[in-house]
Amino acid sequence: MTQLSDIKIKDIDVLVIGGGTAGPMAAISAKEKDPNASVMLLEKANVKRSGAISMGMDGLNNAVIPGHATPEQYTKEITIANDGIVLQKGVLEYAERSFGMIQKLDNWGVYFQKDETGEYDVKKVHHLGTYVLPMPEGHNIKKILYRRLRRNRVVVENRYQAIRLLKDDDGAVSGCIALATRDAEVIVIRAKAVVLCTGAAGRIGLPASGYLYGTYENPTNCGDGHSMAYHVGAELSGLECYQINPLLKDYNGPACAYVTGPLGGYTANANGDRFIECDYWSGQMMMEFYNELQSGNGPVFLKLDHLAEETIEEIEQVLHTNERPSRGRFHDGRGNNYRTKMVEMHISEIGFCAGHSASGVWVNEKGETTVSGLYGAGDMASIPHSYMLGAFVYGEICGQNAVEFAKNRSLPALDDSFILSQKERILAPLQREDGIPPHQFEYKLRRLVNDYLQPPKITKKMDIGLQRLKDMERDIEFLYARDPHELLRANEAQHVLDCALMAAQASMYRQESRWGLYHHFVDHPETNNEDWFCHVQLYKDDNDQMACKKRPVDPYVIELDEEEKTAYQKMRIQKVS
Amino acid sequence: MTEYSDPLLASIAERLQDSDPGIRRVAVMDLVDSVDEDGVNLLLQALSDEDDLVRLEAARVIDEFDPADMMEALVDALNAADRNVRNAAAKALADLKDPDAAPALIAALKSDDAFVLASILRSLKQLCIKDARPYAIELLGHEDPGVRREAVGVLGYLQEIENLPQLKAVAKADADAEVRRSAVGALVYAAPEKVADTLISAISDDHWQVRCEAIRSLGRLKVYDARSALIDAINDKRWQVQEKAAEAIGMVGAVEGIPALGACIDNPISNLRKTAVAALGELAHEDGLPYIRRALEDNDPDVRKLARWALERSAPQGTKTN
Ligand SMILES: Cc1cc2nc3c(=O)[nH]c(=O)nc-3n(C[C@H](O)[C@H](O)[C@H](O)COP(=O)(O)OP(=O)(O)OC[C@H]3O[C@@H](n4cnc5c(N)ncnc54)[C@H](O)[C@@H]3O)c2cc1C
Repeated sequence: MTQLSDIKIKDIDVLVIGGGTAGPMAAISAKEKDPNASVMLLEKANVKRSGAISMGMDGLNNAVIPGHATPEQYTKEITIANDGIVLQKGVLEYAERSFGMIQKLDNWGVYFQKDETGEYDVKKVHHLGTYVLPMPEGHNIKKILYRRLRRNRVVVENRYQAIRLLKDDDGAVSGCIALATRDAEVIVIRAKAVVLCTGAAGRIGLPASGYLYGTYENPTNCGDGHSMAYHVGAELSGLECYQINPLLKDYNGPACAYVTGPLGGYTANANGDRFIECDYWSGQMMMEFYNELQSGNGPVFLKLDHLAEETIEEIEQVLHTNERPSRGRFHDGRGNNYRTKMVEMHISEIGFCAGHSASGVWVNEKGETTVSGLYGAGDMASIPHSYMLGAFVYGEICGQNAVEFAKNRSLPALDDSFILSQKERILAPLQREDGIPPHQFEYKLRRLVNDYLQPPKITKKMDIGLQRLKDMERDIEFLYARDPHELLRANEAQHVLDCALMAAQASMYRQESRWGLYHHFVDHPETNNEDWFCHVQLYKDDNDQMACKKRPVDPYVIELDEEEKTAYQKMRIQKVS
Repeated sequence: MTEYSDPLLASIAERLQDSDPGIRRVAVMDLVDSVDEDGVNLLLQALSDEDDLVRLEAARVIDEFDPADMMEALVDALNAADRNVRNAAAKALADLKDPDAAPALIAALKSDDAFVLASILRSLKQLCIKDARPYAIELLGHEDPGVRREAVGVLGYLQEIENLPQLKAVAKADADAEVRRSAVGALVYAAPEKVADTLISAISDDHWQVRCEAIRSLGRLKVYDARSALIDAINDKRWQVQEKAAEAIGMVGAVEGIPALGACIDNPISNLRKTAVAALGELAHEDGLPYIRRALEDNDPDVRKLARWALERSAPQGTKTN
C-alpha cells in the first residue's frame, strides 16, 4: 500500500496547466505582476513546441485596433455571431485589452503586418468590422514566449499530464495530481491558485480520415482540462454549441479563409462559385458549408487558381513555411498546385472550443471559474470566439488575478486519502496483465460520437449514443497499458469519455435549435427564445451525477439597436430566388 | 569554467569542452530546452567554436535567446568570418526592438555584406530612430535591391516631410519593382497634394503590384484629382489592378466613375464584381441604381449581399425597398 510520503510533492504559489498559448502568457504575467511569487508551467508535451500555435500563426482573426474597430463594435458582432447568448462583459474585457496585447507582443519581437509607414495593416474580411491582422512572419511566436519564460524565471515542467485537481476543505483549489509521461511517476503539485490552459477538447469526434490524432485541434488537447474542471466541481457552459470547422480534406490544418481572403481567395463549390451567405465564422456558416457538401454542388474547395503568380507565392510562403511546414509536402503528394486546381475542403469532427465557438469551462471577465482559486483561459474557457489573441489576453488576466489570489492564501492542506486513491486509479491500467488497449477504447468511443452525437442531433440517436457511452464506463476497469506512454493514452481516453458524455447531456438538455449546425436539433427545429435564451451550465451534482441547469444571460453592457440587428439579418440569410 | 546551477546547462557546459565536435554540436542543440537565462553564455561560446558545424548549429539557435542579453556579442558577430553566423546575428538583431541598441546598429552599417545591411536597416526601421536617416538616404543608392528596400522602410516609418523628395524619386525610377512598390506605399504619410503627382504617374508603372499599391495609396489619401486616372485604371489588363481602382473610386468619391464601375458588374471575376458593387454603395448615388439592381441577381452571394447594402444607401429617400 502506498503512503503519501512515497509521493513527491512540489509546492508553488501559482500553477499553470498547459504550456501552449494562454499558459505561457499566464505564467509570464503572474511573474511580471509579482516577481517574488513562484510560478510553475506544467505541460504534457514540451512547452517549446506545444499547442495550437506550435508552428506559428498566420494572423490575428480578431484584432480590435483603434481606427479600424472599436471594442463596442466587436462586442456587438460577437453577440450577434452567438445569437445573443454571451457574457458580454467577458467579450468586452477582451476587446478592450486586445490592442494593448498586440503592442506588448509587438514589443517582445512578434511580427505583425504593417504598411510601409509602420501602421498595422488590418484587413477587412467580415462585412461589419475590420479585424484581421496578418502575421506573415508569425513563425517565431513560441520562441518569443519561451524567451520571456526564461527572463521571468518561470519553473517549466515538461512531459507531465495533469489529471485531477485537488481542493481543500473550504472548496478552494489546492493543486493537482500529475503523471510523468515518460516514467509513470505520479506527483502532487500543491498550489495556492491554479490556471487551466489546456486548450480545446479536440478528440471527442473522429476525423473523416479515421485517424485518431488527425484532428483539427492539436491532438494533445483531448479535454483533460474540461474533465478536471468537471470533477473538481466547476461549471461548464455551452457544451451543446459544438465546435465544427472547415478544413482541408485529409490535412489537419485550417482552411485559411482569413489568410487567403484578403488576397482574393475564397471558399467555393464544385462550380468554382461562392456559396456562403453568412458573414461571421459561426454555426450558421458551418450549416451552409454542411448543406453544400450534402448537395449536388459539393464538394467544397478553397479557390486560389484565379490569383496571380506573385500572390500565390506569397500564400505559399505564409501557409507552407509558417503555419504548417508539412502542408507544401501534402499538396505535392496529391499533385495539387494552387495555380491550377482548387483544393478540396471538408468539415471537421466535433469538439469543445471557445476559440472558434463558445463551449468550455465557465469563466467570468476576471477569468474566474465557479471554483475558488481556479482560473481558465484560452480555448478551454467559455469566452466565445477568442482565438489566439483571446488566449493571450485571458492568459494575462488569469495570471495576474491568480497571483493576487495566491498572495492572500497560505499553503493549503492536502487530502491524503483522495490523493492515494487517485494515484491507484491513475496507475491501474499499468498494473493489469491484459485488457483493452487505450487506442481501441478511444477509437470505439469516438466512433460512437460520430455515429450518434454529431449534428444533425436526433433524440433517438442521442439516447442510444448516451447509453452506449455509459456502457463504456464499465470498460474502464479493463483498460490495459503496457508502458508509461500507453498509460498516458489510457488516462486521456477516460477524459475523452467524460467529454463525450458532457456533449450528449448538454445537447439533450437544450430543447431547441440554435447556432446553425452547432446545435441543429432535428426534433426541435426552431429557435425558442422564450424558454432557451440562456446559457446551459453542466456540473457534477451532489450525487456525483452529471446535471444541467439554465443560467440567465447577464444584462448586456452594450445594447444592439434594432437597425443593427436587421442589417445583419439582411446580410446573412436571403437567397437569390 | 563557470558553474551552472541548472543541471541541463551544467551538462551542456561540460559537453562543450569535449574534443569531439559531434558531441559539442549535440550539446548546442540541447541548449534550446533550458529555461535558464545563463544558457546565453554557452551559446556565445559555441558561436566562436573552431568547428564549422558547431558554429552553424549555434547560429541556428540564436533566435531562441533574448537578443537583449547578447547584443554586444551579436554586433561583433556581424563581422564574423562565417557567413552563417553573420546572417543569424543580423536576423536576431532585426528582431531586437530595443532603442539602446541603435548606436551599435548604426555603427555596424559599415558592413559590406548586403544581407547584414538589410537586416540592420530592418531593425532600425522598427526603432524609428532619427539618427538613421542619413544612412538610409545614402543606402537608397546601394546596388543591392534588398538593401534599398529596407532603406525605404526606415524612411517610411520615420514619416518625415523632408524625406519625401528621395522617396518620390525612388518610387519613380528605381530599377526594382519591389523597391518602387514600397516607396509608393510609404508616400501615404504625406499630405495628398505633396505626393499626388508621383502616385498618379505610378498608375502607369510596368509592374502590376506597383500599380495596385499606387491606387491603394491614392484611395487612402482620397486624392480627388486622381479621378480620371483611376477611371482609366479600371480598364487595366490585370483584374487585381481593376479591383483596386474600383475600390479607390469609391473611396475618393468619384461619381463620374459610375459607368466604369457599372461595366464591372458583368465581369467574369467575382472579386471584381464584389468590389465594384461595394464602391457603388460607397458612392451612394442614384445613377448607380441600375447596376446595383443587376447585381442583386448575381450568382455570387457576396455580390448580392453588397448589392443589398448598396441599394439601401443609394435609393432616393422615401423609395427605399426591402
Ligand atoms: C488549426 C488551427 C488554426 C488556427 N488558426 C488561427 C488563426 O489563424 N488566427 C487565430 O487568431 N487563431 C487561430 N487558431 C486558434 C488559436 O490557435 C487558439 O485559439 C489558441 O492557440 C488556443 O490557445 P490555448 O492556450 O487555449 O491552447 P493551446 O495553445 O493548444 O495549448 C494547450 C496546451 O495544453 C497542453 N495540455 C493539454 N492537456 C494537458 C494536461 N492534462 N496537462 C498538461 N498540459 C496539457 C497541450 O499539450 C497544449 O500544449 C487556430 C487553431 C487551430 C487549431
